[in-house]
Amino acid sequence: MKQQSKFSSQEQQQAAVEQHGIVESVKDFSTVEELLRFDAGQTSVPRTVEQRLAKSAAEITSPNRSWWKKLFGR
Amino acid sequence: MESLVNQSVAERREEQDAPVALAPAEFATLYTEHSRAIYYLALRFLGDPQKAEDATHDVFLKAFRKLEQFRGDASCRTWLYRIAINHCRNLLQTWHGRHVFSNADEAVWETAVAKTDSPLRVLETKELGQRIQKTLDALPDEYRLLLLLVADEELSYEEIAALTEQSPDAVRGKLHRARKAFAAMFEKNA
Repeated sequence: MKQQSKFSSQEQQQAAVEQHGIVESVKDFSTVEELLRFDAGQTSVPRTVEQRLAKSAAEITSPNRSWWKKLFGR
Repeated sequence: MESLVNQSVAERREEQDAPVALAPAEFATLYTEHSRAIYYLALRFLGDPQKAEDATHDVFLKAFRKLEQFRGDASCRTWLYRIAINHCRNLLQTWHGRHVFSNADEAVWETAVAKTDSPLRVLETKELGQRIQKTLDALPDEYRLLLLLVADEELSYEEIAALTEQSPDAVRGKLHRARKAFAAMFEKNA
């Protein structure tokens, strides 16, 4: 009698990956949206955006802006 | 940029007599609440982390400059998405090297073979983002944008329709084809 594998294909895939020294997990996404939401959740905004924005916003609101900056927005 | 208020912008606006313009002091909260969504849209729509970073900066700076014009008749996120979409579309138009799909190209995706009812099984790796990007890059801009917008649970079909200037029914129809095209390309990129 043919012995049935006690591991599912997912578990076998996982084991194969771990044998190669890479610890990963298999995930199923029922929809494209779900996959993209997961991807978005893994994505973080670089801190430099916040820093650059704070600097740019300060330049706009600064009362001590020189006349050429006010005129030409530089 | 430090968060200036703990209460969310949405909560504060509900307490006030809407519509009102956002006060500049609320801008930090606006950034905290929506920057990830805007950055993600820019990243996956433009397909370049550095350009996405620049775009996110530019979108929020535009929003900052236009704070007084924000009348509160749309949600903050929709308002920011509108600025982001216009900004990203302008950038894409100026990149002459990029292949732009025409409506005629939609026919290509009509014939895409994909089992949209079966799950998308993936190994959770650093390469997943690259695979998603590669898949999105292969799709027409319109499909890419619709998929990214519908993935945001805060947006309704009506809001997506308004943002993309078409009817909700048209959005639903195109999304069906976009999902199919994505699944086919995603499988191909495995």
